Amino acid sequence: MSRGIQVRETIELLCRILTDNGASLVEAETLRKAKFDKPEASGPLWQLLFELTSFSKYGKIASSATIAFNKMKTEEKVLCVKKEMQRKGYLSRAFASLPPDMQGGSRELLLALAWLIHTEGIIHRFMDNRSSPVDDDVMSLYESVEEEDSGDHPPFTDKKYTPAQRVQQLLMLNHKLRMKIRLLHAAQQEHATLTHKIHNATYGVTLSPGMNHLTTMQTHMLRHPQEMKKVLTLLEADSSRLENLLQWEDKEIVFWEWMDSVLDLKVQGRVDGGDSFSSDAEGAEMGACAARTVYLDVPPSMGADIAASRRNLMNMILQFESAIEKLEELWETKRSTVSEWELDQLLTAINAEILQLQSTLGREPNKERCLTSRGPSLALVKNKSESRVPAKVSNAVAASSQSRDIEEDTAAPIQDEITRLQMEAESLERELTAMRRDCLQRLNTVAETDPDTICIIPPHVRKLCQ
Amino acid sequence: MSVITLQLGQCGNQVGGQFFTSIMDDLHAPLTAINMSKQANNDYIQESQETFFCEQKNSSVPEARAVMVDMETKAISQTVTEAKRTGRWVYPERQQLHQKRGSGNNWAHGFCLHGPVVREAVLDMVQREAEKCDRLGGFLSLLSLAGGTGSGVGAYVSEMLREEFPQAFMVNQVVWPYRTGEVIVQNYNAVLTLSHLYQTADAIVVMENDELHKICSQLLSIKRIAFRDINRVICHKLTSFLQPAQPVETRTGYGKELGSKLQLLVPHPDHKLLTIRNIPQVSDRAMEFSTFQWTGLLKHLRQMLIASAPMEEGINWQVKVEETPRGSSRHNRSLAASLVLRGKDVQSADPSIFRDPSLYSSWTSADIGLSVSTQPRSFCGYEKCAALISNSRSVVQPLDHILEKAWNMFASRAYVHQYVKHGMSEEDFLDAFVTLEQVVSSYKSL
Repeated sequence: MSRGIQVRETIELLCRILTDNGASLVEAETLRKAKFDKPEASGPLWQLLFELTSFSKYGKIASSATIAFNKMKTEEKVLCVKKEMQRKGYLSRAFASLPPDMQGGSRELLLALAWLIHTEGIIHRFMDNRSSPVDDDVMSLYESVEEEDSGDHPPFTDKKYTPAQRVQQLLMLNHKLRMKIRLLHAAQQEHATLTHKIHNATYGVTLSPGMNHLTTMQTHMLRHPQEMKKVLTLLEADSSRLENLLQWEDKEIVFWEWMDSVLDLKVQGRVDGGDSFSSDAEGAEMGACAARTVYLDVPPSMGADIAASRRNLMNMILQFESAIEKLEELWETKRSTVSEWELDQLLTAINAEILQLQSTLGREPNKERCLTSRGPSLALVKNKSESRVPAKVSNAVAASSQSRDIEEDTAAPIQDEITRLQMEAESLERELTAMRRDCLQRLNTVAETDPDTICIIPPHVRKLCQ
Repeated sequence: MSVITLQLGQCGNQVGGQFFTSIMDDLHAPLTAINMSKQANNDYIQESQETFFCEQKNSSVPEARAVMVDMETKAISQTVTEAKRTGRWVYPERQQLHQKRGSGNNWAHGFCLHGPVVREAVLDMVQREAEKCDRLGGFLSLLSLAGGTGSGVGAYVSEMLREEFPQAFMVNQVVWPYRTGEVIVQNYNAVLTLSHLYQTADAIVVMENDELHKICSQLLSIKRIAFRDINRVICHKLTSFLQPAQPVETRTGYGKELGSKLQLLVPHPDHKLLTIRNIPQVSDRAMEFSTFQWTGLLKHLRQMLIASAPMEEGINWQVKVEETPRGSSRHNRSLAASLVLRGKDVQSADPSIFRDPSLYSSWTSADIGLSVSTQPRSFCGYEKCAALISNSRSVVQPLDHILEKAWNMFASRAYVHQYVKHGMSEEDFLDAFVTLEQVVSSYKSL
């Protein structure tokens, strides 16, 4: 029975984690009911799947996603989720044939959910989402900014407008947009000036190592100690979220064993219930109900294309069969003759070559990371690499790149970035003037060819192109 | 948000002095007269003062954020002493530039000769002023179109500012000369200045001397009208637009900057001319005996807009908002408008009559075009007052008039040699005419 209690606790932990990170509330009971294929568990599971697929697509579960979800009809929701899952590679026929009105099939949904969590590493991505309330640029959350409910219909869509009127509208909107960009520019300058003032004023006092002054956030907290409570609650919520995630690391094995049992149930059910979804021979019979199982955007000629490619491949194999056999013999002989020591030499040579190539490629990926890295803060250092290269090589490469990261001085790459950006800006300016001149010339030729038109050039443009 | 004022030329300097004095008068109005709590009043004062003035380190009298430029010494020194005399504000030292010889009412003299000479000094002063600001909201240039310094040097300074501060917002307030003005070449000066300002400024606020004169004589019952009275009317209009007011659509502080007001009023790059209409404007003696209601005020204001009337007397009530059978309209159509309501019971005022779509051009609508701001604090002794800043067709008429006169003079090349000898060419004249003709045609098609 302690086993059962463990399972229950783990499932509840999973539900807590999902809720902490933005998914809608799911009870542990729902998941358990889904194991036994109870119909009332389907609805919440469809919603959970939707949210998790949108999380893995966009990186977060936004409130707009939930709103969109509530607005969609049931069939649309089902369609959307099925499409997303197939796009990720979950090609289970049983899942794809689930009814579009969200009745039943909760065990399939549970299996799909577990597959998604595992394949997309959703829990790890939750861990990567750092949202500590004492991060400096989260300061804006404390201002009570009321959201303007500006009309949600864009202007100028109601009536019909002539093309001339449309042109005027577009000119107007364009100019308005530019003005707003200028407002943004002014706001950003103000931000920089004020931050500079704060840093100057608190010179000599510091709460974090490595800085010589207080940050804006810290100054705000010092001035408004009554907001400490709010920050404390936020911090508590954050730490409980992290605790849950940590516990998951220990306990997830229980969850996967439980999922095994779910799978066993399903296989058993299939054997007992008799081949409902099994072979293609029964495809004709299933034609009526399992009408559509493919939800990916595939071109209609896909079937023919696949068959043609298959034929091609078989032809190729037949052609080169003899060559392939010879190569295999050669490989065998080589493998038995080359010694352990020679293998090591080869590996180190490959390592060195990779390092060299990386350094010559320019340190751009590292540089970007340096520019955006915050100061001392929590960071999970992932040791997993994405390649399938043997473990020895990948670890060596990862270790060396990390050490270079930490040793590098941030000032040097920033200066290079600045010069590079300046050169880019200059080249863009040159391109712009060249294009302007070109356009002016074309305008002039058009004006000359047509006797009824005159081309009037505003003086500041003429000045620019001289 | 801070606005830096540039006072250019004799007229510009005098208007500028009066401008800051009007602001100070408004801010120092006694608590009993303004219908507001002390705390709210202090907020208002702080906001307004932060915009136009700068705190001094060793004295409590604030300094105006202003740069003064003139080619003669008299106007500037007079304005500075008057400012000091009020005791409420001063001009910062070393922010004035004056020279000895003047521009002789010649635009080319101002633009081609004086402009480059004073460029460095003026830029220096402006940058010093800009560094004092936390947030540069924009520039307000005050100048007149008829003279030589204000118009010529003013146009040059505007271009220079646009080069140095490409992201800043620039509003130019221009004083339109009398139709029967004293300066012979005023039309040339006006045409040249306007065409240059159109390229660089974001918005040009037009104040016609003729209309202001009428307001002084008929509404304010002033017997002998001097420039001082006209300047006071100008500043009344400007301050009713620029003093703090809360936009109705947004509840947060967004929307109060000069830039947000401008992006609502001058959204189209071809339409930059603005006019300000105020209501009510009564003389001091009549003030005690007048009371007003919002409905009446707004109705009058609307008719002033439709009939292109500059003031609330002599409005042509016959002009209605309707289309003629051929599709054109006789009433005045706007591209955008901003309504500022100040005074008691301002929440009860109903601006919906301004949302009539036929008041606006056919390709825009009142949703984008109209913005309403309110301020419960009474303004300048008026219990209730409203100002309408609009970007509308009515501005075309004086422009047309000036263009015609200038063209007639140019056709016979009268006085052109005065301009050519300072470095201009006839092509510059032609460019100016062409630009303004384009402006006129785009306004006519509104």
